[in-house]
Amino acid sequence: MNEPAISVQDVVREYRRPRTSLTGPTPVVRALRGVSLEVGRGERFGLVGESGSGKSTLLRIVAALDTPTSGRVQVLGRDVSGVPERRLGFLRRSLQLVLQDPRSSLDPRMRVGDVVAEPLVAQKLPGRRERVREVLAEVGLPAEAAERYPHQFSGGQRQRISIARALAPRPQILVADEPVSALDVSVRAQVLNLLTDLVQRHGLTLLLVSHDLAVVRHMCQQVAVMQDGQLVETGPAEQLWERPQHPYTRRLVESAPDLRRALDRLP
Amino acid sequence: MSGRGSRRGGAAVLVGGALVALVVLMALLSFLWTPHDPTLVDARVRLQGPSPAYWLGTDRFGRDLVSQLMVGARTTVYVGLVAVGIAALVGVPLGVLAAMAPRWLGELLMRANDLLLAFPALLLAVMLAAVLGAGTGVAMVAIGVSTVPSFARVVRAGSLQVLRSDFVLAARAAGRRPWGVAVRHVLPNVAGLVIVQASVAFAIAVLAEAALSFLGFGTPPPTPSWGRMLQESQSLLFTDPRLAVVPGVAVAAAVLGFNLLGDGLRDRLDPRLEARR
Repeated sequence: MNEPAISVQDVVREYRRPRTSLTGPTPVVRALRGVSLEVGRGERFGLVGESGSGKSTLLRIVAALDTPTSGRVQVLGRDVSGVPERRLGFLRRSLQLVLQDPRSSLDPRMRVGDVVAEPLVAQKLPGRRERVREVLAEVGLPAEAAERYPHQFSGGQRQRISIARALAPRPQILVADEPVSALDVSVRAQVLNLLTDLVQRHGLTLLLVSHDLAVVRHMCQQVAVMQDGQLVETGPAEQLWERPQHPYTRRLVESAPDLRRALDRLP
Repeated sequence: MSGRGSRRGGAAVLVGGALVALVVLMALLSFLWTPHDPTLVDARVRLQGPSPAYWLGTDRFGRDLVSQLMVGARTTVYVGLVAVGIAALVGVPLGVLAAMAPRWLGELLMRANDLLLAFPALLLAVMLAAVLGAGTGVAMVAIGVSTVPSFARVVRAGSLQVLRSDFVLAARAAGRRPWGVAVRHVLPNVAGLVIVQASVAFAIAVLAEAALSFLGFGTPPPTPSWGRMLQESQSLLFTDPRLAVVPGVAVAAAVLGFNLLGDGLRDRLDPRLEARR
């Protein structure tokens, strides 16, 4: 049981663009160029980088929603890439997703209760009704919320719904893709605290993707910095924050707002 | 927000809905009551103008125009319903399939679909009628089959958009298989598009049925049909234009009604517009 929760080994993902000329080769875009990382069980791991750096691609590959061109991905010691969906039951039960924008990640035509119950229905897990009420309470929503539609909720509440859906099948691993960057600044802290709370209470492994180093520093123990489809630096969050080695990491640290540093800079 | 949304396309839906309701009510009422027997030939009242007994007058066989119009509406609604039903029943699954299938299969389906789309509906109907014989059933099938591609196309485009959405990604991560995604996410989200398309297709079906009957490939006599009323008025067009104007206005009103309804509903139901609200 000592194998890591998530293990990514030398993963490459290339996309083919449509041909630009009839005779020329199809242009290839390399979204990931040999990425390796390990997330230990119960660890909170942050993946930082600007948009287009390949973070979300990596996340999709870890969740087996995309297949790498080469390389190997294991979750809880079992291969997930290139494995047919019918043998991914363990992954769907143990790893859940929270996506960036709750306006688009919740089906507008589904009641909240059905949204939250979706993993339970899809995986034929018992005790739907009670579980939905439980997880709604856990994210701070009333049980009546189940009867309403997503558009009747605010952005922060919708992200809570999305978190409730992820928690419903009692996963061990939570993968969150920029969980607060689509939200109003005023509710970001609330949702982040809720997420931290839940991860700690249930002893979840967290893989958090963000462009915001400050968010990652607040939530994660380990951080990997990504640029142009490659990891440029990996290490404990505080170490990266205090002594960034790679120039790109240094730039990210400098661009992150920090009260103490801002005060230091005052004359 | 919702106030603006509910007003959008309001007038079109109202006028279109009223015209459509008029046609449907006329058809329903004809089962219970018509002023006269629409097929009763009476030489004594040939080509009469409007009068208290015959509100819109009679044709050259002395048949009451109002009664013919009412029973003709029945044919129109019936043919439209069955044709649109066939088109939706085949076109919607085809569109969803083409969107969810592997890329090469989806493309293959859509190219075949384009081929069918390029083929004029009326020509197909005439061909079918020539092979199977003229009749209401043949007309319905022909109109239905030739409307399938437009449904498939619209539904595929809508489905592709739904399949790219984050909520489908989340559903897959939750363990939904393709079938579950299709039934629980794709179909409910393209339903609005299908309703709009059905309304527009209904207008086309009304027109096609009239055209087929006019050409003699549709509803056979003695069953009244708007298209055949037009055809029969042809030889008297200059002596008694009323005979052409009455069914002509009926066809135009029905087509306009379904088109307005479709346009109005599109403004209300289009998920792309809704997302921007």
